[in-house]
Amino acid sequence: MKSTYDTGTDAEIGRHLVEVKAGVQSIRTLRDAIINLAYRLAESPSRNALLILPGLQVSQKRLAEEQAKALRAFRPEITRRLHLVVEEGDDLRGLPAGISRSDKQRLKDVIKQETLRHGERLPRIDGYFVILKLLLLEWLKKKPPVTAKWLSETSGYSYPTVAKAISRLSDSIRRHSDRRVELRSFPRGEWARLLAVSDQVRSTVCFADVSGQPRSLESLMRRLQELNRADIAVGGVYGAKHYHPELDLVGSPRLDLTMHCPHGMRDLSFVKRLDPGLETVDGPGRPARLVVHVLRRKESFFERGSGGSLFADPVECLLDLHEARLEPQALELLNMLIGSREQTQ
Amino acid sequence: MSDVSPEQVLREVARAVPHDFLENIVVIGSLAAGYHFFRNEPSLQVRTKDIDCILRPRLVAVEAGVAIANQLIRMGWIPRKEGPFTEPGTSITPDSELPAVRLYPPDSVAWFIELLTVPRSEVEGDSWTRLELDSGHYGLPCFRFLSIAAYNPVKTEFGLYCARPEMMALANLLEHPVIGEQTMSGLFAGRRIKRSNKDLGRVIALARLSNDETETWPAVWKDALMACFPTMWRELALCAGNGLRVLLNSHEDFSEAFVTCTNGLLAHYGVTEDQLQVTGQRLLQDAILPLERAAEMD
Repeated sequence: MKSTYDTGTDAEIGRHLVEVKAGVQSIRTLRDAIINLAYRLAESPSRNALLILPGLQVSQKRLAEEQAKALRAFRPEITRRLHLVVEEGDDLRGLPAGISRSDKQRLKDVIKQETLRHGERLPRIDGYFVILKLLLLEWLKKKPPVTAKWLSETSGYSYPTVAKAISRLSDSIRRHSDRRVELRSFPRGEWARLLAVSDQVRSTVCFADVSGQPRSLESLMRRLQELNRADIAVGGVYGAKHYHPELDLVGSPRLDLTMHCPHGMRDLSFVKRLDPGLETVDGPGRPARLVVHVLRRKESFFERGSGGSLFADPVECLLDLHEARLEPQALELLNMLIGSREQTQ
Repeated sequence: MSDVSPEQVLREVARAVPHDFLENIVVIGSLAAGYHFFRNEPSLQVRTKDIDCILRPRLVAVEAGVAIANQLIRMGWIPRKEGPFTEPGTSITPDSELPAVRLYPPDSVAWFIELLTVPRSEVEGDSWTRLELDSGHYGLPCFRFLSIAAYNPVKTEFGLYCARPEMMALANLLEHPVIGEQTMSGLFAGRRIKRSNKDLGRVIALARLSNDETETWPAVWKDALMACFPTMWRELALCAGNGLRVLLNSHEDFSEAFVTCTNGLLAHYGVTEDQLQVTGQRLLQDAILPLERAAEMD
C-alpha cells in the first residue's frame, strides 16, 4: 500500500485508487467525491477506484439514485471502474470481484486511519465548562481537592485555561494552602449557565426513528454493548438509574449516550450499527430516540455497571436529564447525589 | 387476488382432505404468513389466490398427492384451467407437460390449492413427478428450496401444518441470489413485476411483521441449512443475502418489491418505501450478516 500524493487519493491498493469519505451527510459531498474520482479515473485508464463511505448518513435509496445519475453522466469506461463501497457491519459492500482477503484487510486499515484522521472535527468550545464539570464531579464524589496540574492533565486544557477557569469560579472555589482547589458547595449559578449551553458544550446530536417500527431502547443498549466500545457510555435515564436505582421514572423516552472524544474528532458511524433506522434530526419536530453527547476531556471517568454496560459520570447524566426536559428527575438525582456526599462526611 | 381469511381456508382444506394425510401437508406462502401473524386479529385477511400445499416427506408425497387430489375432485373441487397445460395428461404425456394439481373449492373461485413437494436430496433441482389420478395424469412440482420452506413447520389446530415465516424467508432468499428477468403473470397495482422482486419483497415483509424476532433467524436458518443441505450449506449461507443486497441498492427493483408488499402482506400497515428500506437494512444486519459469519467460522 502506498500513499498517493501523486494520484490525489487516500491510498492505492493494487490497481485500486482508494478514497475514504467518512460520515458523509449530504448528497453534494457525495457527488463531489464521485466527480473527483471520475477525473482521476479519466487520467488513469488502467485503474479502478473505490469510494469508501464509512458512517454514511445518506439513505441507501439516495445513494442508489446518485449512483444511477453517475452512470448516466459519465462514460461507461469510467463508471464500470468506479465502485461505491459502504460498511455493512464489519464487512464492506460494493467491492468489485477479485479483491483478496489481504487487500480487504488493508482496505479496512485505511478506513480506520482515514476515519480517525478525517472524522468530523468538532467546533472549539469554552474550556471553562469542561473544567467546571470536572470540579463538579470531584465535589459530588467527595474527592480530595485537586491541583491545577491535575485539572490540566485530566481536562486536556492548558494551565492558563485552567487558571482562568478557577479565577472565574472564585466565589465558589476553596483554595487550600498547598494550592489545591475544590468547590465550596454546589455552584447553582454556574450550573444554570452550563445548562443553558449544555447542548453546544456537548455537541449534542439527536437521532429519530424513521422506520415506523422503533427498536426498543434496551435493544439499542444491547447492541451498543456488543460493539464493545470503550469510548461510548450510557447516560440519561439509564445512567441516572445506575447511580440512583430508586429514581422516580418508569421507562425512558430516549437513550442518551456520551461519546468520549478527547481529540476533538467525532465519528457517528456506530449509530447505523445500532440501528439503520436512526437518522439525525434538527430541532424539536420529531422526538429523538437516541441522543449522542460529546465528552471532550482527556479522562472519561466512565463507570462499568454490573451488567457490563459503561455509564457516563453523574454530571453528564444530570445534564442529559435536563436536556430531555426531565427536570423533576434531574432534581431528584442531584439531591440524591448531594445527600450521598453528605452521608460520607 | 382476493382477501381471504387464513383460518377459514385452513379449516376448509383440513376438512376436505383425507385425514390420514393431514399431517403430510405444509401450507406455505401468504396464507401461512397470515396464519402466523394475523390469527389473533380475525379482521385482517390475506390477499392471495393460491394456497400452496407442500406434501412431505417425499417418500409419501405421491401417495398423499393422489389420495388428496382424488378425494377433492370427488367432492366437487374444480381443476383450475389457466396456464399452458390445463387438461389432465395420459400415460404418454411427458412429465414436464403435465398440469399441476390446482383445485378450486366447490363453492368459490376466490382461491385454489396447489400441491407441491420437497426434493429427494440436496442435489435434486426443480422437477415434476407424475400423479396418476382417477381423472387423468397430473404433475407434482418440486422446487429446490421447498425443503427449507417446509423445515420444522408449525402444527395448526386444524391438523395440517403451516411453514414458519423465517423458513419461507430463507427459501425465497436462496431462490433469488440475483434479480432475474422473469416477470409475474399478473399485474400488481397495474405494474408488471419481476418474480425476484416479489419474492424478495415478501422476505422483507416477513421481516417487518416479525420485527425484533429476526435476531433469532440466523441460528434457525443455520440449523435448517445444515439439515437440508448437509454438504453445501456454507456456500448457500454465504450467498443467501446476495439478491436482497441488489434489491436494496436498486431503486427500480425495490420500488417493485414495495408495491407487492403494500398490495400483499403489508396492505393494512401503511408502510412507506423508506420505512421498508430500513426493514431490509435491519434484516441484513440482524440475520444475513450473522448467518454469513457463522458459515465463515464453521
